[in-house]
Amino acid sequence: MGRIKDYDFSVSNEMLLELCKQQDQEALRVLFRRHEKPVYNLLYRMLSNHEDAEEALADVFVKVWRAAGSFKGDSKFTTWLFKIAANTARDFLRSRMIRREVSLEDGLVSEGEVARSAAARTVDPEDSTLREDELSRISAALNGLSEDDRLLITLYHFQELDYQDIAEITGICAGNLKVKLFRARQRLKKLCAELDGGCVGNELRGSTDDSSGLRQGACEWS
Amino acid sequence: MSGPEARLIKAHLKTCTECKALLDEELAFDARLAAVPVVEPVNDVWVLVRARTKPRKFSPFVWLARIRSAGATAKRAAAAAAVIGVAAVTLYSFTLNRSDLAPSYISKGAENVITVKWSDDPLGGHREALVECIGKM
Repeated sequence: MGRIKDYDFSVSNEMLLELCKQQDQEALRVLFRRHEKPVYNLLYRMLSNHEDAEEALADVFVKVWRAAGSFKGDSKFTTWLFKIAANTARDFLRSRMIRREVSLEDGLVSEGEVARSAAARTVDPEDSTLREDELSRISAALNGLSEDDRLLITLYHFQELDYQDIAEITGICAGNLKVKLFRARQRLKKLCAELDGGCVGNELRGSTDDSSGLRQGACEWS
Repeated sequence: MSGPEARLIKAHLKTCTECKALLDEELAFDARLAAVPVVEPVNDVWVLVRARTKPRKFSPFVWLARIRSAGATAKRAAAAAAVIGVAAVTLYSFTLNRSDLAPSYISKGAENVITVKWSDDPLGGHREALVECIGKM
C-alpha cells in the first residue's frame, strides 16, 4: 500500500491491523507511530527504566504484528494494545526480576533525569529543582507499589482510561476494580507522604488496613 | 454520578467541613499525579521493530504459515476434510480385506475339480500352473 501519514486518522487502527495481517509493514509503522508514546509511558511507569521500557515497547509491537490475526474486534484496539503492553511489562518484571534490582534510589535517579530534561525548558532554576524533587518522590512512591497497584494507578491516572477499559485490560471485574483502585491510590498516598517526610496523619485514615476500602470516621450522611 | 445523588453530595459538602477537607485532599493528590510529565523513548524503537518484523522474501514453508494464519472456519474445514479422507481410506481397505464377502462357486469338470474364488491375486492362486504351462510352450 501507499505511504500513510502517521496521524491520518481516516485510516482506523482496525484497518491498519487488517493490513498487518497481510504482512504490510508500513501499516505497522503507522500503528507504532500513533501509539508508541502512551504504550511507552505505561511500560516506563511499570519498569522504571528507559532501556527496558524501550525493549518492551519493541516486544509489544512485534506481538501486535504476530497476533494481528487474533484480534476479533470485541474490544477497542487500544484496549487490546494496552493488554498486550501490560502483559509484556509483567513478563519483563518476572523474567528479569527488575523489582529486586531497581531500588528506590534508582527510581529517584531515573526520574530525576526526566525531570531535568523537562526542567531545561523552564526559566526559574529554583522552580525546576522543586519540580524535580516532586517528580522524583512520586516516581519513587510508584516503584514502592506492587506490580498490580502500579498497573492500576498507571492506567487510571497516567493513561486516563475509563473503568471499563481498565477492567478489560487487567481482567479485574468492574465491581472490584473501584475498590482495588482506591486501595492502590491510598497506598501511593501513604508512600508519597512518607517520602515527603511529613506527617501521614489524616491522609491515611482508614486507608490500607481498612478492609472495606472506605474511610473510617467519616461523618454520617444527613 | 448523576442527578439527585450529585446534588445531595454537593449540598453535604457545603455544610460538612470534614468531607470538604477530604475532597480537597483527594483533588490535590489528583493534581499532583497529573503534573507527572509524559515520558518519551530516547531512541527510535521503530528500527528494532522493523528488523524483527521484516517479511521473509521466500520461505519453503509459506503455505504452512498461511494455514496457521488462516481463519478458524478454514481450519475447521481442513480438519473435517482430513477426517473424512482417513475414514474413506479405512473403509476401502477394510472392504478389500474381506474376501469372504466375494462370491465363490465350485465348477466340477470330468477329471478335476476346480475351485474358483475371488481374490486380490490376479492369477487367482494358479501361479504354479501358469508357470508350468508357459514352460511347455
